[in-house]
Amino acid sequence: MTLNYKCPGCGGPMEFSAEEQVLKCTFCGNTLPIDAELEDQVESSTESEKEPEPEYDEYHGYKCPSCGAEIVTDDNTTATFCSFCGNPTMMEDRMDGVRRPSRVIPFMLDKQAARENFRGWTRKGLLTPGEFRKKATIEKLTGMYVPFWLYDYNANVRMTARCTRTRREYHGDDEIIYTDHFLVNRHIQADYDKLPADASEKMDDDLMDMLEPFEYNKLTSFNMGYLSGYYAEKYDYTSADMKDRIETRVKKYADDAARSTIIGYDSVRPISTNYALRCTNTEYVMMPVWMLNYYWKGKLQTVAINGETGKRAGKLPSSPLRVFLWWAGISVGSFGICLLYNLLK
Amino acid sequence: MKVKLKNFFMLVIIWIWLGSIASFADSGVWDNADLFDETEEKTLTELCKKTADSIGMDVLIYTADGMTGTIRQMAADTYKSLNSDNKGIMLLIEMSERWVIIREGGPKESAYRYSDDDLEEIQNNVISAIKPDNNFYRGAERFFEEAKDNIASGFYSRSGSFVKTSTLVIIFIVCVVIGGIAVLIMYLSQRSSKVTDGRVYMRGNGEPDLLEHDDIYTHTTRQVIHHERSHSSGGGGGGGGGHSSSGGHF
Ligand SMILES: [Zn+2]
Ligand SMILES: [Zn+2]
Repeated sequence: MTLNYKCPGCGGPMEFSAEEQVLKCTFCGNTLPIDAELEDQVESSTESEKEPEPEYDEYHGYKCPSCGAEIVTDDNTTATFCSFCGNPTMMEDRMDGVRRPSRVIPFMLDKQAARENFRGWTRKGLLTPGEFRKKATIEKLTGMYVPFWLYDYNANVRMTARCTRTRREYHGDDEIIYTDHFLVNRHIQADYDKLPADASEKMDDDLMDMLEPFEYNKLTSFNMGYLSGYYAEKYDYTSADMKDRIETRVKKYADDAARSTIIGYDSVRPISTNYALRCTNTEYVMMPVWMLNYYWKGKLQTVAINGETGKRAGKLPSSPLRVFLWWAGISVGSFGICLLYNLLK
Repeated sequence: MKVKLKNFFMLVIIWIWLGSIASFADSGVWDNADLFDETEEKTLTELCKKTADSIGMDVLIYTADGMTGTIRQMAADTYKSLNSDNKGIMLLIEMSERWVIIREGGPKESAYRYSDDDLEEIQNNVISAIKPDNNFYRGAERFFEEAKDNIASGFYSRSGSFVKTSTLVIIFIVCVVIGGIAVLIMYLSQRSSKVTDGRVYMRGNGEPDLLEHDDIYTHTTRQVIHHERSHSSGGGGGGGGGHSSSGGHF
């Protein structure tokens, strides 16, 4: 049920190295390539559409393959660390059948790079409270594979709009404005590939949306090896559960696309729009995300960094004192400059 | 904090020092129409200097018997001949046509300490003081009071132009708004944005396939706007820098 990778040399725990894109022993530095051989014990049957019944007792949970201690997880965790010995551990039965991701973008930013990225962010944030620059905060950054659905959509839009074009003529003191009115019809078609939507209930949708775009050229066949040394979750929502969310987005994109074909007018007012949206493919994938949870004003907040591209998502808190000091400083400072300018001019 | 306090005091000292640069040597009474007796003239001259000290600009009283041009032109020329280099306020009383006019004058036009309305108010109050029994002395006294009451607070800059407190308040509010905008920009720069451009995910070159399109002309509407040609007004009157009340009869 649980799985971890042991160094063939020294028996130490092996973690996925974002820098070298291989499994690396945390003790001796020995490396193993991530390939099919690595997890030949895991059967990949994406054909089966039925959810496998949990064979294990949820309550009694999992045991660490290294030390035998019980692994405390919640129902969705698929990769974590043993709280006793600290070894990375995967719950492989939670990634069986339909629950097995087809592909994954492996972490490209290792912990060090993620910390540097976060530090750069806090330095740029002039209103960020000082405690956010402290080491203790930065060390709370955790790397997590977040389940995502990728949707391919075909969108067909018929749009009718009233459009106008104006021209002006001048006769003496008179200005004559002619407005030409048009009825404009457009029928467009667009294909959208790999629109991502996070499939985890725990993750804030807006926050996850802000991590986009992911670079899909790094998307590779799923292998459990990529999860070792990171946290991972499985999806709570099926691809069908999120249909509304993704279609709202496709509609907006398709609407923009249709509007973009109406050019050369001074005003465009759509009077009717018909959408035909067709989902052509869905794919279950894992995306790498660095996350930091923090309490601010008694509320749990999260900021995230795209583990592939380094794009930052969310907002850092603003310290009221810093807001006040900057505001007062800039106001008084600029007033002082005006005053001196007036005095000396 | 200590440094800031020190700078503040420096500023105050500079302010006071600059305020005292202007000289008020040209305050006084020119009683060509003989409206005041000798003791009155002496008292008024002293009051002129005293008022000048308190308002920070020259105070002049000029009386005449006989017009040259319009009353405004006369006031401008008179001020220029008496005190063209200094800022000041002048009460002019003309006896042949019974005019009273107030002029604020000086080298810099932009530095008025009285608004047009202020001058008008001073003039009218002086007239009403003189009117009942042709008491010019009472009119002059009233002129001093009004000059003190209506003057805008503020300070002189190095070049001698006057910066009003009300202007400073406006500048300060603008500065606070600028500070607020700057902080808002800082605040917004701490948050990240979403991808809102669907072309990122669109297959092909980011352009949709245009399957059908037509643009049907329906009709044209016409609107006429009549522009009145504005006629620019001619240049202002001569004399030095300054402005006057409209002039009024007593
Ligand atoms: Zn090893
Ligand atoms: Zn363990």
